[in-house]
Amino acid sequence: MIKKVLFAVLFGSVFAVPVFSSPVEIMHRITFLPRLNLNRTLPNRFSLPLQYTFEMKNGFFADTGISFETTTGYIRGYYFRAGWNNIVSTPFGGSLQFAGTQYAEYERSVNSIIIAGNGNFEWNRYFAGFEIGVNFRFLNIDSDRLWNIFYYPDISREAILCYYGVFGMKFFDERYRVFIRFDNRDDFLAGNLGHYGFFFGQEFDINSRFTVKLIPGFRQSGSVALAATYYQAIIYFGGEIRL
Amino acid sequence: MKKFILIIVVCLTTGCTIDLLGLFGSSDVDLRFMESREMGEIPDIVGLPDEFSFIIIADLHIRGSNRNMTLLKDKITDNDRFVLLAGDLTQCGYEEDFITLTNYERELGIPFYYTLGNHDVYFGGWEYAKRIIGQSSYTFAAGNLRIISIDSANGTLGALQLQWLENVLDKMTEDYCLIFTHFHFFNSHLLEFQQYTDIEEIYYLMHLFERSGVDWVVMGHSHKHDARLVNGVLYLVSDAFVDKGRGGKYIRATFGENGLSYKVLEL
Repeated sequence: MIKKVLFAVLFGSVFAVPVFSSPVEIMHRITFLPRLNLNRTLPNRFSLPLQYTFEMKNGFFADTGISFETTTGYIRGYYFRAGWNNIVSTPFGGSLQFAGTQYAEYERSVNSIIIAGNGNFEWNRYFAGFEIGVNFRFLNIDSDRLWNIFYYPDISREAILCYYGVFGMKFFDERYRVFIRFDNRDDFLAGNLGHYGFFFGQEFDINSRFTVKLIPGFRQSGSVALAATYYQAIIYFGGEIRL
Repeated sequence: MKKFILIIVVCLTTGCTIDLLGLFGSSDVDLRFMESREMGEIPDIVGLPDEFSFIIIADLHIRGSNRNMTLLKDKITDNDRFVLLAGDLTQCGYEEDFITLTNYERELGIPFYYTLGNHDVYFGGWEYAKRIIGQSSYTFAAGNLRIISIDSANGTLGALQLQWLENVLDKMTEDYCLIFTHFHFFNSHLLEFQQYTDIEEIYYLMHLFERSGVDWVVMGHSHKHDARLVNGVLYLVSDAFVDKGRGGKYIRATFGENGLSYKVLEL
């Protein structure tokens, strides 16, 4: 059963491109957004992720990414996602994602299927968005088969709520955007419900093809309810190219 | 509507019970660890028979009293040598509730070994806990069994405690090892706000336990019994022992030549 579900998500999400009777505008984006994690319990981490996004004017999108972690020398994460924003001209949409995270140094990997709904709103020079979904997480503890996403010899199944909310403003003819974001996930990994983070991001369009991004923030990694005493400082810094 | 949203937020952010006022009075796990080291070592338990048993309970949430503790007194047998309490001993970390707990210890007549939960460090509870029940992290031997309490009351161990834990496991000479702590590793339901926070830290610890020959990891917090055997390590979550007027469940563990075994029992 798990094999069938994973197969359907993995390949279904990639090939679920709808057929259109008329030509549609398509955009391709490549994103390079290295991430520095300054931890307090475990060693610091520096990741080099690369992402590709395929987006249609009507809201359909598919993206994929892979992330290499320099501190451990392992591929840390990869994902495939497909979804539809602004379904039937509403601000709402949904997505389906497979995210694989390798912890090879600990001889385990954790794979997630994330089903989420989202909403995106814009008014004047403001924008806001949210996503809420369920992360079905599967733990693989067989060190010889960490890349085998269909094999869970001693499976641990968990279901965890995942979410993000964003609010921002646009300046200089929308070329410069600042936003605050609250989440328990990024593109590569969805954390536990209480693994929440606050980010203050900035994006600047250098021209019609290039955007630079700087997103510093904090993610709590130890708390008593909201009295978090331990934070990871996280900095995303990189850019995006529209092809 | 506003009231409804407030209730939802409070429920989500306070875990098992509502304690909004205590949210911002907690202490830092590094501080508790350093102060625990200054308190000295816990002596080993000597003179144990070849086979003995001990009681495991969690999530007492004492607020004034806990009738389950009185009922537990009648269940103690001659073979039960001590009680392990896996955190959330008190509801709000109040001094009088820690004192009540030590009174129950005297009534039961066997030693209690404590680990702290998130509720125990609310309202500056660590200031009372360290004076009344002692260290938040420590280790001792019970015959051929090494027992280690690790302080996860903040959902993380902190670098100092992690290093100490690695050293203890590295120097361990006993054939069997049991670790007890408060926060559990695996989500038991969708909206579980608090648990061990960072999944990388969870997987680091699981790997460490497997390499070091840990047999059991005893936990609480979720208020729901769970047992998962992963690569030879049993992750055992105890039911809540909170007094709701309808009894409670406890675990009787037995240790002998063949290692550890357990039974979940009702009061």
